[in-house]
Amino acid sequence: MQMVNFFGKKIDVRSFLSKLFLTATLISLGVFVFLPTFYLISFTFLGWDEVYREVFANPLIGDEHWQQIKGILIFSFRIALIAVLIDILIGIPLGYILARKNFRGKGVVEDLVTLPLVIPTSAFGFATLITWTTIAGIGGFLGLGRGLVELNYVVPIIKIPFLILIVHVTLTFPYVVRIFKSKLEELNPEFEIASRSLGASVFTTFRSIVFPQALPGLFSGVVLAFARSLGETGATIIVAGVNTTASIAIVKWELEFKIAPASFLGFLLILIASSMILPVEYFVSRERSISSLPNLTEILRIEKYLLKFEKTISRKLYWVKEVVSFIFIGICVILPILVVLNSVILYWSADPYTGKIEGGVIYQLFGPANYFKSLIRATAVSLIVAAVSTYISVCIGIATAITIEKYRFCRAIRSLLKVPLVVPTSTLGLSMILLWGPKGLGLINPGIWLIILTHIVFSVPVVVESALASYEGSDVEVYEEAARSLGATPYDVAETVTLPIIKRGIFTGAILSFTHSLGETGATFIVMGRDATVSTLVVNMVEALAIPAALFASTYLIALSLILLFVFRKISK
Amino acid sequence: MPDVKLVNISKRYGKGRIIAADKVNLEIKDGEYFTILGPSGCGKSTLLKIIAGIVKPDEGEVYVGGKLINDVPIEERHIAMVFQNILLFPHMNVEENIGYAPRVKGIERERRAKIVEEIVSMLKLTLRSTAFPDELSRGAQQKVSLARAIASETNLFLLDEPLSALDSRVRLELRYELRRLVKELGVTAIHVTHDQEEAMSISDRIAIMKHGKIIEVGSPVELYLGPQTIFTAHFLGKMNFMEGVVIESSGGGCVVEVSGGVRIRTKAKGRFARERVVLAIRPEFIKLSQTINENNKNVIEGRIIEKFYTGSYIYYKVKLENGIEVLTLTEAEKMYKDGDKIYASFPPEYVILFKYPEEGLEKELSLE
Repeated sequence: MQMVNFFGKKIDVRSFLSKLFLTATLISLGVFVFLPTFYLISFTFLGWDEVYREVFANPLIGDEHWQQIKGILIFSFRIALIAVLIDILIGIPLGYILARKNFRGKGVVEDLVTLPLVIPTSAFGFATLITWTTIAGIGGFLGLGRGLVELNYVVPIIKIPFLILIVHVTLTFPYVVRIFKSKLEELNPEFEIASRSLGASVFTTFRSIVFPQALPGLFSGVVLAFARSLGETGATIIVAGVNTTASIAIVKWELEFKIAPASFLGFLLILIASSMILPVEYFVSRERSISSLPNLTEILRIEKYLLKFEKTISRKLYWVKEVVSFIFIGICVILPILVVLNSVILYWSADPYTGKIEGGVIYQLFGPANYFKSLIRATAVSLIVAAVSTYISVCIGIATAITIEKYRFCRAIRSLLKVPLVVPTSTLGLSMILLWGPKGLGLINPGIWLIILTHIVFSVPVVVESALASYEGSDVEVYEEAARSLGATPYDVAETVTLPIIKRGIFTGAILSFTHSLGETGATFIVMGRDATVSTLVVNMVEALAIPAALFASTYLIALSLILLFVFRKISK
Repeated sequence: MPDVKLVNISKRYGKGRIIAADKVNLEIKDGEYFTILGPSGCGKSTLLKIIAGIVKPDEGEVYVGGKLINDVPIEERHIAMVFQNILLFPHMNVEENIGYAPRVKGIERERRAKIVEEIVSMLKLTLRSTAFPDELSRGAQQKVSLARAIASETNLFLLDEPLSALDSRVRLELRYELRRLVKELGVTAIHVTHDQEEAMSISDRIAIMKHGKIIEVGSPVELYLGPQTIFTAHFLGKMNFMEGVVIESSGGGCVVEVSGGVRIRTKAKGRFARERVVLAIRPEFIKLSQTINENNKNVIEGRIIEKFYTGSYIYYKVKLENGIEVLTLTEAEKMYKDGDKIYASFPPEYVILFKYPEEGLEKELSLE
């Protein structure tokens, strides 16, 4: 097909359209996703004089901010590091069980592993808080008459506040488990049989055959878990007590109008996150990356002892992995939910310990504070935000996924899209408000629209990634070629072959971004203005010490996420 | 020394609906090249997996070298397996793959290199030892996996359709290589395949399997020339079948009447008059000629209706005067044309009789 352009030149309509599509996709990606993600970097450089004055040479407090930032960063990194180590310890056996074993109730265990990903973090943080520190939780069950631990109890040796650690582990281990598990599922289990038939025990087989091949999956999972721990805000803000992590610091400073130190900290976090994800991406995508790693046990000459040790474990301690995994899930995922449900019933009409109706759920919801009204309003905001941001993200995401598959030079986009996933959300919120808000372009004031724009930034990568996964998992290209050979135009192919085949992947991505949007706290806190979402409302309730109201809101959010989980499961199976 | 004995092995899948092994009894002698042959889905692979310890039988016992090994895990059964999917570890190069069994036994690097070297020269592998599996052809991969199995220094080889995934030329080459190695190493080999030609050319003895049952066990020659069941006769090589009734039986053989009133004399004994039988003869035993030869027996007139040229032989399909079509095999120098009138002779010593199956001939011949 040919047509004539303005200058009287003949041009091919088809190639014109495909160029138009490419340009539109790249522009919308740039404006909606990459600009906000990287804006903080340029902001820090452009306003370097002010940042320097505030952070390093404040006339009143000198480099106090810099000292704080250093301390906070080290603290956050320590938490993330320890949390990820525990994630690995739990994630490897759990991932292996879920990938290789069949047992009754496996579906339930899988759901319980997914739950921390869909649960609004503030509600979960609150549930963990009352489980460990109040009489309504473990302490009460054990008859102690108080909570099992103090709010600010610090774990000895590693020197990390207990509650922060437990919240971070619970919210991040699903990344390790899920990615490790799906990598294991790609591996042919016959390799394990081959190895065992050659005389390797179950553990030796795992170490020498399964683990090396699944290592790239473990790496990706660990990076996501680490980043998530660095960026976690919603739950941390509730259990933090006197401690401050990096993302909480950004939220606090932003609310105190200390833009310079906040943006400098955010700038550092983006740099660190990108410099972490990009080398790992490169390593994982390289062929034979694993084979090039040195064999430590051979070098240390401990192989022989290790083999013996593994043989013993394979024979006698094979059940440990199951027991440890299930106890962990029971204490960290199920228990907090049960405690919240139990407490909301106890506190329904009045405080069970003082008997005052002012301490009951009903009074707080419908009494003078009227939390019910704010809850309804927040729900409306949350749903609108989630729906609109998911819709826009799906539109951009489909176009991006197709672009990445069609054009070679767009492959790098895929790696770049990992960056918004690992940038701490509070940093992202800060970036958004500085870019679009009154101090930046002045286009959008804090409020529902800015929330939507913010959520699009981290939703697009989720949609793209799951669309690509299902694209690559189903030989779409073969079918596309078949369709082309039958006379379909590229547009026909996209509409009649590509999209229907990757539909499921897109749905999965949409559900994930919807739940992510519902539960997001860190960025939303900064950009929401007066339009609170449900998850931020829980934080406000806890800070206002309206515990029964918070209990009700948490229950409500947990119920909501269980429904979403159900939908997610229906679609992804 | 590994003689293998299976006693009353049963295994069912899918809540008992699919029978993979039904009271199987089997004895495999030490140093024997034994093949389990059957159509796909007959349970032959399950049987091998039971011997390997990958699948647990519902009932029955597995003995290796006289020891009951039902509860011994795979890694302690001292077997070497070769798989249809080859399954070289993709993250290890050729040398590391071959050296894997010595490695997990805790043998030091230097001695391991020696073992690998020995096996490589024994197999005449001319490969870069640092090559990775995906850089090799399928045939070379399977050779390496064979080397990997040999390196485990065991006496029992379990070969699960090891040649099925290879090109036909490589398959033929490796077939003889396999037998040579097994005999050279003096090990026992149990080979599972659905390829009857492969089974015939490679094995000392073959077990024919169908629906989870062992139908017949014997050497290739025994099974080919004197099959005891219609299924074996049909599954091994090509066979012509005709339904008929015995009309005369004596010490020297019997006479069978097939359709159209045609009578065929056989040397088969022990049949009684009016018994319904199935008569069988292999294509290469039917003699064709254009003139009547006095020496030939059981001569029936017919016409050539189709021919299939294979190079060294020609298959002719002949329509006999009683309407029955038979397949014949002759050397390529005798050329007939379609429609040629022909006399087919059925030498009595090569005509085999079977009892007419209860469920009919069609059902008996189906491979399902």
